[in-house]
Amino acid sequence: MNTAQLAALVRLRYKLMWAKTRSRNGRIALFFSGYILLVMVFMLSVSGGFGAGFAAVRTGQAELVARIFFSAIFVQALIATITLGFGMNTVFSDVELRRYPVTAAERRLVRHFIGIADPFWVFFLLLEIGLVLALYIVGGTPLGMGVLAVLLLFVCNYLGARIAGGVIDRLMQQKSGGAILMVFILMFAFLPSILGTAIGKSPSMQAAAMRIFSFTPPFKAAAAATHWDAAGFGALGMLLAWTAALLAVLGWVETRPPVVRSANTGKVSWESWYERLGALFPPQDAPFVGYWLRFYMRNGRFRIMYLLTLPLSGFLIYNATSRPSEGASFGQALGIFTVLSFLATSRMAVNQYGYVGGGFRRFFLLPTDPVASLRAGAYASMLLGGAAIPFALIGWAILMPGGFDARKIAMLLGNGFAGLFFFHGLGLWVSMLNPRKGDFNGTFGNDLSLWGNIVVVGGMLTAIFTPKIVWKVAPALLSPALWWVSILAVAPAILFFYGSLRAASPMLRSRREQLMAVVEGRD
Amino acid sequence: MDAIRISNLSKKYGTVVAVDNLSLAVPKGTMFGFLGPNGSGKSTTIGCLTGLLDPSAGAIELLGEPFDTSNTAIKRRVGVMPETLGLFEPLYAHEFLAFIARMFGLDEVTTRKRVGELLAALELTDAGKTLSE
Repeated sequence: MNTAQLAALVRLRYKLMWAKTRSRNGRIALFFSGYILLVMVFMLSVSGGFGAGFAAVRTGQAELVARIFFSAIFVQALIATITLGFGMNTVFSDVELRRYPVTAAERRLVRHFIGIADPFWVFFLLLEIGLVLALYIVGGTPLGMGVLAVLLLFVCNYLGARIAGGVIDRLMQQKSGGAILMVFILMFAFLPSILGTAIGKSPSMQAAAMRIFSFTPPFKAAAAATHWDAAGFGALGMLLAWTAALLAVLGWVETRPPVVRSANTGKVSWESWYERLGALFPPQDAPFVGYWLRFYMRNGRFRIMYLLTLPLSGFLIYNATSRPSEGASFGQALGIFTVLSFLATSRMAVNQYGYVGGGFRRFFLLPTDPVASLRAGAYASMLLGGAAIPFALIGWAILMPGGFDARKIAMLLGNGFAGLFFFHGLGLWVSMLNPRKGDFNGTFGNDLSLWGNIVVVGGMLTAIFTPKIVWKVAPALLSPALWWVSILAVAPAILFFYGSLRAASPMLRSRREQLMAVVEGRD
Repeated sequence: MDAIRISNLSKKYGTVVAVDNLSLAVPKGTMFGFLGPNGSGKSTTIGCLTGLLDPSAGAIELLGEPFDTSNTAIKRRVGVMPETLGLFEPLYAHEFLAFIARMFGLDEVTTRKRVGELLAALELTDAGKTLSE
């Protein structure tokens, strides 16, 4: 094995990362991410890991606390990796590494080393090491065993995330992959709360669940970190077996590359609903709207999120309230309706040109104002996102706690449309000022720019948490007697959207050279 | 009449001068080869001629009319084959051609006729049903 060459490739990854920070945006992103990460690592590894360790020893239930802690970290890391893409978006793909004189096994080693050395994964490792250190200092548990167990757990966690990511990637290449994945996501979202309630009521089910969980890597790591006896060594052996098994599964998954789908329409169609919807717009926008509608509807990730919009909204409304009540649920619904039309389209609405790739420069060769492409992209996103509002309203009207109230429907409608225009107005600005080259066929991971994340993640969090705060601080503001406020809120949102469109035309012309550089990957 | 007339064209990227005071004329009805070493500004010049880039200085005339990036009437009469393939990814071949035709203002009957002719001429009738990904 050519270790010097492998080390050079790993170093090259970090050199490229550093090179990216030479731009102004890169420096800003580096500053924020570095600062936030430092604070988080310090606070969480100390207070989280050590705190959990101290609590474990003081309560006399070191293994139990370690089990809970390791399991929580394991699941969080898995979810965060799949949904946000941390530690997965390595600089080098296998294809890129083929140009270097390294074998297939060496390529795999380099890619996974870069993946596991991602700051995100190191952060989780520090948390786990923090707990082991606290157990050793306060409880006198074996440090070496603990560190070894945590390292194996860490590797298992990474391998698990890689396998899940690989399976999702390959699933999305199948025709019915999106639907299958949606079923899995719904099961993952709803099953824990349903099963948790059922298990909580039945001691026999609790015992059975514990027996099953006792074989999982977090439970085995907890056993190994707290026992200096045969049980501890046995747990360590099981962790090794888990690592070997996960490695084998990952190898199997990775040797089955995603099949590029070659779709067939069956026959050439000239009168599709894309054209019919596009024809509702002015002639200069109509072909563009048809194009963007296809763009959205032929994107696997959008289709999944679109199908999930209504169930996810219902889940957020009824599960995000800690003490469900008519008023609290309605407050939550107001918040969710504000982002409802943006849930599925947000990734592309804040980075409209980021997924167009080589086709981007054609927008400027066409005999039309280039802003027509941006405008039509927003219209298409709003058509698709806005279509969720009436369905959600019908769902709310049927399930509405406390009976039908037309004023509440008006408020939800007002918030829905205010959010539709407001977020798409923001999307126009981010698309022009802070775009990022993305992968149209990418099925998971976070590929948005800094401001894209601020708008999407910030918008979602604001929508979920603001109603909670208002409900606690000033519940009168959510009273149906103020239904007209939500309706009035639509007007400034519309003004903001159309004002943004108006400002976009000169800005898009002046920024097109920078946009081309980013979208075509030359930045 | 000249099809293309460039007068004192310059294009700068910050402090880097990509095209420096270029003047040339291409008579109508001629085939014109535009050659030069790497970094001599060929792509930049074509970028300015097709509306992708704004010149830093100088003037461009196409088909006898002044041209800038917002001149859609001229763009309607100019065909460009980009250096990169630059396809709109999620479109079928016939959709791609029809989209371009509609953007160039062809009526629906002509669009369908021309798309059919082009796919047949290029033996892409079957590919017309395949996504360009």
